[in-house]
Amino acid sequence: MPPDRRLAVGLIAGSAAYLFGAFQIGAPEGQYAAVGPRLFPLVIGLGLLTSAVWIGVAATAEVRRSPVRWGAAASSALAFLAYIAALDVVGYLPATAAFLVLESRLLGSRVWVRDVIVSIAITVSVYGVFRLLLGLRLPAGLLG
Amino acid sequence: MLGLVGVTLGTAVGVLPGIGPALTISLLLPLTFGMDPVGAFILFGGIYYGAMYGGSTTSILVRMPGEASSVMTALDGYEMTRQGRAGAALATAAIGSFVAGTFATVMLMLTAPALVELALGFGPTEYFAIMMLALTALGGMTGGAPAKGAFATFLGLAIGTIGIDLQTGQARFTFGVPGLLGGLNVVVVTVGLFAVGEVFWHAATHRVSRETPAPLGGPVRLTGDDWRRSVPAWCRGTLLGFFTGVLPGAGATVASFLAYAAERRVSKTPAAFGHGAIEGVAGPEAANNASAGGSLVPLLALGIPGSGTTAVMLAAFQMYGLQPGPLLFSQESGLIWGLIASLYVSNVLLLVLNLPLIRVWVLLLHVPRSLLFAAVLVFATLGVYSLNNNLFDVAIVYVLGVMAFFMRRHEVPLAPTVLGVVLGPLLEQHFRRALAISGGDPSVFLTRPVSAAILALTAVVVIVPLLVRARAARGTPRSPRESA
Repeated sequence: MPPDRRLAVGLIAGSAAYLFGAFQIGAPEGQYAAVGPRLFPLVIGLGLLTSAVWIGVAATAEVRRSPVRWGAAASSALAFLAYIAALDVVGYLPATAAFLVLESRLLGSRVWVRDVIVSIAITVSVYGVFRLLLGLRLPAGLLG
Repeated sequence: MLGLVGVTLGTAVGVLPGIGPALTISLLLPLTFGMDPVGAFILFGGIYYGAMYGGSTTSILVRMPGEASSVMTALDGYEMTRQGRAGAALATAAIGSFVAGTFATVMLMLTAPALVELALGFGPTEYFAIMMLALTALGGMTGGAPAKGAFATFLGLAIGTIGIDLQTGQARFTFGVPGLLGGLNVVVVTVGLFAVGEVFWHAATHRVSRETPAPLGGPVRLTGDDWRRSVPAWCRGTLLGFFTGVLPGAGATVASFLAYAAERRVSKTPAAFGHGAIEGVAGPEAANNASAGGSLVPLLALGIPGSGTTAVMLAAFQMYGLQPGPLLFSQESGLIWGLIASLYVSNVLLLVLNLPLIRVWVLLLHVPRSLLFAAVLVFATLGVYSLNNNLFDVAIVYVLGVMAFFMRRHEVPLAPTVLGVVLGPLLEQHFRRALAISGGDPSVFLTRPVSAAILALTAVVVIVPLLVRARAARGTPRSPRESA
């Protein structure tokens, strides 16, 4: 099966779910409106469905794609998720410094000492700009 | 001052591959929250022009275009570098960008008020029609499969329907999550799609090897012959670029392609193209800068963005509670003229700053990409966090980033989705307002002449590419990926 056809199957399922959600929107009671809140989602849902089917129909067998390293993408994504979760727990400063070192390594950097120094420098200077210059609140956590 | 910062930053992001003006402005949005709007827009204007110029430097020196819009520059620019004429190539790109940027700003000043004059008579019907045109044009012209462009547009519209319906107070697609009631913030959407998605994509596809910049040979100046060949190319590129920019959906990439094709057609020696013809650098570089100016015309005069970057700028206007369009011209004229004045200043700064600093920009290529992208994730997180001081928005950015990764993987363009999110709610409101005025009679869209004409044009935009495609079903060259 051409990859675009597999994609289309997924998209059709998603579009159908959206369309189902659009049908669930209730009509408001006793208000005058020429067009209710349901019409647009319904039209958009039909549009999604139609273009998803169209992608499936137009799919051809030829595949010429650059190879994707799934492992690298997934580990980056996981590291970022862990970072978001850690922000509220341990606070901005330690979480960010650790994340920068880890993520730059995941993205292919191989120079430990430089990475650590630059990561700490970025962390501190961003802290300075956000917190001290702009007065924005950063996630504090335990150690923030 | 802010113009200087903007131009510098813009050139830097133009030089760095993978980081474009749309991404930069969306990362800066939360930071400029406390700034005065005039300052913020001066900054954004500088970034936009600077990025258009910055892409040329890497195209010429390392054949590594920073933006899709400078792909054409790489063809002849890199050849010139190999012949030891890098200085001349960089100079023609810089001066061409200056000429084009200045002309486009003058045209913006002349045409925008005229368009405003016209737009003052517009009602919801006309706005609905124009937005339909912008959406279909961008969805259809971003290159790649039309079905995917259409899906991307509908996806954006679908994301735009999340939240409370403004006219009836009905919650839609919120699944009982209170954080979704207000809808998704456009800043959150752009940061998620452009910034986070880009980093994930980079993680999966980057090559470890790196090309080293060629030494900068030759003086940075033009010979008499270069001038003679560059000047007409600048003029053609500028005109072509400006009008391409005004059209919704076309944008800088299309402009530079058209300019390159035009140069080759009018040239007496078409065979020289691809082997270091200076017109092949001058034309496309003028065109991409002019199109940046052109794309500001519909944004400022009508409040309708035609590209990814201008969609992000519209989001910025909305963040300040300003709605660009005819009313903004009369009510906030200080802001508009400040922005236009800053575009002139940016242009001069670009020229003054960049000719002597070319060596410095090349050094930027030595910044390790891994650290840069890791830092982009941190900026994205903190910027979005500081909008509302909650991690819920950050979680949404994450989900959208993953989604953008899969869209890139399947060659679904991102810009139509952002435009859909920005325009969707406005589109719906204007549609329903128009029907409320007409008492529910849908024929109103076809009986008002301006709206009928624009909707007819929209139909043409949809149908013509399909016919062209059907005729040349086989052997169509793939267009490049979406412009910034």
